[in-house]
Amino acid sequence: MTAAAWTTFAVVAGFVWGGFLLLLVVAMRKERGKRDGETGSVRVP
Amino acid sequence: MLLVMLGMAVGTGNIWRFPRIAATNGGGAFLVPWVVFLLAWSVPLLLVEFGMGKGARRGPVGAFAELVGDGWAWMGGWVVLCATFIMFYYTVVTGWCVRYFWASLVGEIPGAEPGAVWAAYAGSGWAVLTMAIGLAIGLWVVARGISGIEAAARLLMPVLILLVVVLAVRAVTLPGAERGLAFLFTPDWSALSNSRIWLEALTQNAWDTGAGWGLALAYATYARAREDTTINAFVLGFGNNSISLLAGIMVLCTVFSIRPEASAEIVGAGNNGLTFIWMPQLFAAMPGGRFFMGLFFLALFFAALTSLISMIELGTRTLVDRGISRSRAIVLLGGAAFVLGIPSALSLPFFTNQDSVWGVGLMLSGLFFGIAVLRYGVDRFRTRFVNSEGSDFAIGRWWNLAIVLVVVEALVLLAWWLSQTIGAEGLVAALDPFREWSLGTFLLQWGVALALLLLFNRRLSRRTPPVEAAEEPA
Repeated sequence: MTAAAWTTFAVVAGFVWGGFLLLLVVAMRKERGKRDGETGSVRVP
Repeated sequence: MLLVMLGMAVGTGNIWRFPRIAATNGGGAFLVPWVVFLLAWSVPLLLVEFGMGKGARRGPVGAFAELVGDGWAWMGGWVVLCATFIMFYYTVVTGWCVRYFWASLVGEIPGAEPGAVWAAYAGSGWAVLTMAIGLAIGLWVVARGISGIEAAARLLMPVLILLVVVLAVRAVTLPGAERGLAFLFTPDWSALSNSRIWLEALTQNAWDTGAGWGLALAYATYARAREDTTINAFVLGFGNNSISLLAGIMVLCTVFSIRPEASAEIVGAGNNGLTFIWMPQLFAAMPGGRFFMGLFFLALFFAALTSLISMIELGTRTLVDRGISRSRAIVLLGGAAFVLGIPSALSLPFFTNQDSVWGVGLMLSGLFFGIAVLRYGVDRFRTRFVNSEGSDFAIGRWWNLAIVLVVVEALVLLAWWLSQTIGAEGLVAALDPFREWSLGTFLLQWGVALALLLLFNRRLSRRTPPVEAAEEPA
């Protein structure tokens, strides 16, 4: 692997995976805060 | 809700299409436009779908009629029709995954002759049987209602992600795997001046994330009023592309480790060739290969099933919006899917034709979503449906520009595709409607579908009561 390949890997994987994990953590914290006793995030029609 | 949405987006395209497209379009250079279009196509459209679903509490037909007027219901009809025709042949893909998972369990693959199992199975009556099995599982889950879909996603998605991670870790620890990583991540920056790379990156994002399919919209109709539109759209886009990247590493490291001399042939073998002919051969040459081959086809089946479920739910939601009971809608849709899936199961040319016609048709779906928002008022839509109650993260004015870009991207892509097709074959040959891949077959099938939708637009736009707003916390 060349330095350019490692750099591309670090930037792309860091952005996509890092972004996903960060967003997931934020979403789960928000969800926990909102749920407040609810069961499930969808309503049975 | 997040797992349900991720299940919708993560499908076989992540596992078999992304590695092939990335590898044949500049490797590392491809990843740049791929990330750009995640932000310039997928996320903006997912925000539209979430907003429309949560706002209108109806499927795409009702949502288009509600937001932009009764005269535009046919656009929602196109979105549903396109995804439903994809569902008809996607049941066949799900069946292939069932068959190959079974074959890996009983040691039937890889066999002595590469492709022998595929040649005997594809297009045979067995393909119809496995299609029926895949469809029956999907219908059973949807028949259990939205909570059944949520329960399935809670089980399948963590297992799917775990399987892909395990397989990727196994692949990168194979001797010589770094050649696969180098192939995927070494950038050929000169490739960025090639428009084809950008178009492939846009198409991959459109396929991959499910943005513009109407599937996220259908699920969003069930979301709580306080469900965060913004964070859901971003998690879905980034989560889907994360799985694609893992799958790319998994497939290319395996290929370059086991058969580096045949890598070009394997990567160029198309979706079916790569997955159902070459992957079993590669796994067989790997220590513990039979075990990992089973995991691979199980992951593929889970990915196919979760996407199939969302397509069935979209059709069901649309029929329920027409006043048909949910159980009757599932029976009707299941019957239609079985009958209309048979030609694709028995004929690979027909399968390819349907895959092309309705796959490219998704560009029109994305375009229609963009047009609907422009007509409604981009700023008004953003304020009312995106930055709505429950959204902790406000979307700024950049999104207004992104929606205009989505429309431009779809128009440019369609124009480019038209010019390529006519340029390569000549107008007369391109207009032949009875070929597997021709402009004529696209125009004929799209034309019939659009004519019927416009003809019955008034009936389509008839309103039924929306799904009630979701319950709020006590």
